[in-house]
Amino acid sequence: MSVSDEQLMLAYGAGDAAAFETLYGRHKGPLFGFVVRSVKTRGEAEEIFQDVWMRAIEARERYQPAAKFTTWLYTIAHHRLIDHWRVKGLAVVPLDTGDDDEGPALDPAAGPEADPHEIAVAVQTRDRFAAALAALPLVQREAFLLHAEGGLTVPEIAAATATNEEAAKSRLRYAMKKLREAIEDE
Amino acid sequence: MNERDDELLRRYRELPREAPPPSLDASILAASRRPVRRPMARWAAPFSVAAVLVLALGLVLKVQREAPEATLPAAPQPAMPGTNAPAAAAPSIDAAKEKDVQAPVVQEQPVAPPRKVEKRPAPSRERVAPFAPEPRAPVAPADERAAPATQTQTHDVTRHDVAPADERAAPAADALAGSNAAAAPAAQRNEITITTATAPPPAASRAQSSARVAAAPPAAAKQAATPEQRELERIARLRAQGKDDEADAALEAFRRAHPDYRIEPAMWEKVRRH
Repeated sequence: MSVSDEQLMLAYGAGDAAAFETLYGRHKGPLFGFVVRSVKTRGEAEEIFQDVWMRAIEARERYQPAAKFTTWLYTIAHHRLIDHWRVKGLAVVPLDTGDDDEGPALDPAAGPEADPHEIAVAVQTRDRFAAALAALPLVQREAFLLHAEGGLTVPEIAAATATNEEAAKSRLRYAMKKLREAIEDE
Repeated sequence: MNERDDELLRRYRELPREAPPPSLDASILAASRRPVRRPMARWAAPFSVAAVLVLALGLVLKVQREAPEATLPAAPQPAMPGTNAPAAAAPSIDAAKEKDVQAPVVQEQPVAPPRKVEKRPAPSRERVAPFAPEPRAPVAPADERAAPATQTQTHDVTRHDVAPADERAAPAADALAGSNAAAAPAAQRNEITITTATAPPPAASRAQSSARVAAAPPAAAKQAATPEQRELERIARLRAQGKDDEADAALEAFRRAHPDYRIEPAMWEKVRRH
């Protein structure tokens, strides 16, 4: 039976550097996928990715397994992304968008390849799914990526994004609906 | 989560995966092995400041406590029985200042309390120190050597030749003497042999000693006079005769011939132009 993420993090906080390597190996891919699809460039993704892990490292002694490790880790990533979007002057994700709308009217420049023309080109030349994902509103894309990459449930998404469960559920549902429609249009 | 959602996730995972570069992995893993940077304890900064202040204050107090000893004039040599020390106390003058500054006027100085009695039976040959922070009490020799020694003191002790009774007993004074040795003129470092047979005499005997000093025969003084002293006395006679130009020239020549010689205040009063 493998050691849980929480146990590894506690062991790392107690001085076991090998525990962190195991933890990093488990989560570096999903976290990087989450980050790289949330920003425009790979360089920004690498910077944010490193920063998230650094914050986790610095907080090793304060870590308390009150929630899943992934929830804690993606919460850090969410806050770091918000900082990034603010610095870039992009629309900041509101904390609560309601449960029956598609979220706020986002700045088209908020997401990578959000330009409609670029989306059309991507549809023609690349995977339509990827284009549909890139075209999602920011909050919906984030909810989907947290679910798809981090394996977070709706309550965990709500916790990681500092919103309520209804909003998180709505964002995830709308995101999947749009992606499904993109696939079914093939 | 239904089958349609699973299909959606499967399609998502078919997308090309991106991974962080190995250099980034190495950087993060290296950072994870570094020890935690603990913030400075709350008490550390005030404690450090307090420690520095205490040390600095202690240093300042120590310096202030020691500084007066190095700068105060030497205590006058208490008159001893058998010695012909002058009644007037001898102010201590910094050797470096003497050539440039007007020689000080010999005047009465408060007599410093006598040092603790330190009996040293063995006679010691002492160097003349320009400074003597603590009064020394050489005891006059009882043998016939007293005459030249006494005469020497008649001329020299008046100002600076405070002969320590026991150099080993006063390391602080010796250190001062040593530190000023470079500034002290060579002529001033004439060594005086003093036999320290007993402890410093009581104050009552000092008066007796002063009386003896007053009665010291001038012939004996001349007997012990060095060539420099004789030259100065000659200049003093010229000055007394009103031959100031000649005296000035002789004094200037004396200065050139003996640049390191320290003229005693009493003598300086005689030879300088008034």
